[in-house]
Amino acid sequence: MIEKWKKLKKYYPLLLILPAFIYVLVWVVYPTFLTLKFSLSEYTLGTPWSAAKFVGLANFKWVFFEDWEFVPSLITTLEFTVVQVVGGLFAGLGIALLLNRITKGRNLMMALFIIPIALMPSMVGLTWRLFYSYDGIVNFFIEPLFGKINWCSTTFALPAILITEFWQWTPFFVLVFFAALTSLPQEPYEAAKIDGASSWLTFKDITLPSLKRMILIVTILRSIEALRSFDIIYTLFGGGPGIATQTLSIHIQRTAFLGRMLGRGSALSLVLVLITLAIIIPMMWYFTRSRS
Amino acid sequence: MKVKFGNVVIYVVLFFIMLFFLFPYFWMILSAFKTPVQTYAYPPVWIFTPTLKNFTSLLTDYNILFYLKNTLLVTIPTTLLALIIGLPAAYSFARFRFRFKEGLFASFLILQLFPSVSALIAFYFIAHSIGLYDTQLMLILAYLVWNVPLVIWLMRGFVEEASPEVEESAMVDGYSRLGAFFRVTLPSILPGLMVTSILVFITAWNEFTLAYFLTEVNAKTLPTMVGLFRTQTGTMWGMIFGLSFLSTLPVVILALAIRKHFVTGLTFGAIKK
Repeated sequence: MIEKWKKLKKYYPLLLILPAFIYVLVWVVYPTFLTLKFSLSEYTLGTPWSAAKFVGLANFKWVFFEDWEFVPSLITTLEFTVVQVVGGLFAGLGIALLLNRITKGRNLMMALFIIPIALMPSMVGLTWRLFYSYDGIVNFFIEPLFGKINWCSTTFALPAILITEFWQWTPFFVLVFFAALTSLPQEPYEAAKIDGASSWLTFKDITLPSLKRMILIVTILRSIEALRSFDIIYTLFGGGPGIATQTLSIHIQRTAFLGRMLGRGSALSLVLVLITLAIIIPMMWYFTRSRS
Repeated sequence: MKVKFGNVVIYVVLFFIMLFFLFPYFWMILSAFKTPVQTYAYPPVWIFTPTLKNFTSLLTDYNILFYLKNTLLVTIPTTLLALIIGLPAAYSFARFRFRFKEGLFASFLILQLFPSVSALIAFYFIAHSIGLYDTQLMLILAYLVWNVPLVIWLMRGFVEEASPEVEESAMVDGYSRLGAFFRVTLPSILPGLMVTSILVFITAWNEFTLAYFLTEVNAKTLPTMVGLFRTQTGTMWGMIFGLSFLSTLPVVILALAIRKHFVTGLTFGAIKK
């Protein structure tokens, strides 16, 4: 009896994880299997699965060779991700460094920076739609500088989305970098001061290396979000005009639910998952390796 | 004197930065109290007599309380279930040593990074085939996929902060591990539990993609109301701003309530404050 109990106790840690593991696994593995099954079929939204036809790799052939929207959507997705991550890193770090140099009011400012992040992205997209209209508040502010811009045009729709996403997510970078900056040990800075090092050198040789971990973390987290970003793009311009702001997420939704082609949409879904993994896994691997 | 001047410059720069990040929200709130004509007047109207027409119309013509009820019926069970499923796993990762521990732990984050749009077609099919399309339960089941990993990642950190020695001494005193957990560890991780619940709640409250495509009439949540106000005759901006104001207010308050731990939450516990 005691033997049996001891044996069970050995599995105690795993038993505690089991419910979570099974739940998530079932809800990831089964949908992935379904998506794979659909991606090999011609399957139309609104028809029963029994009416679907097995077509082999035809949907993947379509994605890579026939779908003229795939490459532009992929480019838009990557452009979007790179701009979000790089822009967020520079602006976030810059603002955090500024905040770190003052004492009065910075707690208030850190609290206020939370607001944009907490807002419902779908509402942000929809309200900015009016802000970006020709007679909107954005044009009101930039008219004296550049004149009015037609934000809903092919040229400016993507920049408009980038600005809105930048607005919502840069505070995230600020919060992270500020938290990291305030927890840095002070001794190296005092030593650098005694040595008479310039502030640029202090930043380059002391601050930046100790922020490396944080930079990696926010790059990974923001890349994950940017690669799958949907809400703001959908509610702001819905991927349009034309396909000017169509990311892969939007392309999937349009193919599957507007075009009713669930098979092709599934093939695109798998491609998006693979692209996400191909970008994020190496980042994570590099991150865990640099920790040890 | 020179230092002082530098500070003034920093404050001025920060003032304009804060203006950029706060003005759109301020403008959204302001617009919620305007008449439809005022919302798109050019040049913009700054001073006006506030109207509550948008809110009363949302209540009576659009039955916003129905959407609010649905949102709460999804977010609250999601939060509770995510904790019930996730907390034991988080505890296990924090307290025990076993094989493949870190690999298993990392796999939860990898599962978390799946784009919800990629899961949409399969979820849509599953929802229809088990009769859960357009129900709150379907949204709860779907949200848990992303929120259980979030709970595990966050709560592991909070449990690790609570000392294992106190728990062990309670076990020496005759408590079972479960008893020791409830008597000793649970009270000390309550703040962490609070922060985690609020973050899960906010995530579920704000979720749009799945809610929009997995519901039609009965289970529609607040974020999906965005589809209601673009009609043949034009967009009802007054409603949209009223809705934006009402639906973001609770979340902004909750987020500010846990502001000290907000960074911890957003970085999956990678940053402790």
